[in-house]
Amino acid sequence: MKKTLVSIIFIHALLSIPALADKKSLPDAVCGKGLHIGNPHCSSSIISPAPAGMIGSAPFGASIILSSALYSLWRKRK
Amino acid sequence: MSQHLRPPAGVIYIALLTLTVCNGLLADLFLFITQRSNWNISPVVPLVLYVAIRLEYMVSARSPRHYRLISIGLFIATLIPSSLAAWLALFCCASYSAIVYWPNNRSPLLLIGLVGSYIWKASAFKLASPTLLELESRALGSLLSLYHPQLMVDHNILYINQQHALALGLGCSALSNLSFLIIGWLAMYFLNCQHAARLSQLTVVTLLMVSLNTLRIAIMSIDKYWYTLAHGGLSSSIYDAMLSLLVCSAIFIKPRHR
Repeated sequence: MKKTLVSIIFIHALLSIPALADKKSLPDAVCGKGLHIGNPHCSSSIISPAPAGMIGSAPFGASIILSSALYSLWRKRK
Repeated sequence: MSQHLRPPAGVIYIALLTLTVCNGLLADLFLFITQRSNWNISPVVPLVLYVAIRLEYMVSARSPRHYRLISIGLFIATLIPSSLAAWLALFCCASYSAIVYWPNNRSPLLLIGLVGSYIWKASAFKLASPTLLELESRALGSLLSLYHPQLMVDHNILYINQQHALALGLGCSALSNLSFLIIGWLAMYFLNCQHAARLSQLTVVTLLMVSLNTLRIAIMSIDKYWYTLAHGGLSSSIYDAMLSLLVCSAIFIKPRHR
């Protein structure tokens, strides 16, 4: 019983890490301050197209990775 | 179908592995559907998954009992509606597989790398961001002060002059995408050749990525006009394409001859 309780508390604590990380983290992008440019990302929590997302999350980057993988497979088969 | 990864145990394992990764990506997918974020799922993830399954085909025989055991863990992971739970379950299963079948463990190690990348980006890096970004800002500040003598650094803010300052955030730190670059490069490398990757090649790729990021921030630091240009849509896509090219550079490495 005690072990189960400790496990449940441990799992709950573990799963709440992302929420805690969101609270503790700094903002998500490079924002110009001073005479500010007015990028929506810097003034609200909504992510603008500007900051670097995940690698290849833009269509052009994704197509580069996909075509390279296909080329590699094609070359291997050849 | 390979004799080692044959149905039903092998096929169920692949299906559950894919479902667990999908469960891990649900948080990003949910943010995209509810329009709280842009599309933020990298093609590196399906690439790593494909290469891990492909490497699994190539290894020496693993017992159906092993796949059944792993599948039970993955099945539980698919039932829990939590991305972190899915990644942690995948980590446990991949670690178990890597330990049991040492040294034939390239596939589980790739999966461990994928899990590590997600946990780093979603949790660990965010928790450590105040310290890490301050250190990165100081390093960038000392480099940029060669061009901007008036530059001052306060925590993660670079005060370049009286009119212009930059705050270095999570998304523009080199550390945020580094783990995905490494795991994507390794996946592409294993797709290309079977030998172990050289640390020197990986170091060069890492240094190139850090240099690219530094160059981008250096351009942003010139003035407001250049900031808008480097921060905006097209430049962001060009930067993303350059990172993707770095990931793909692994296919040009010639296999070593023994």
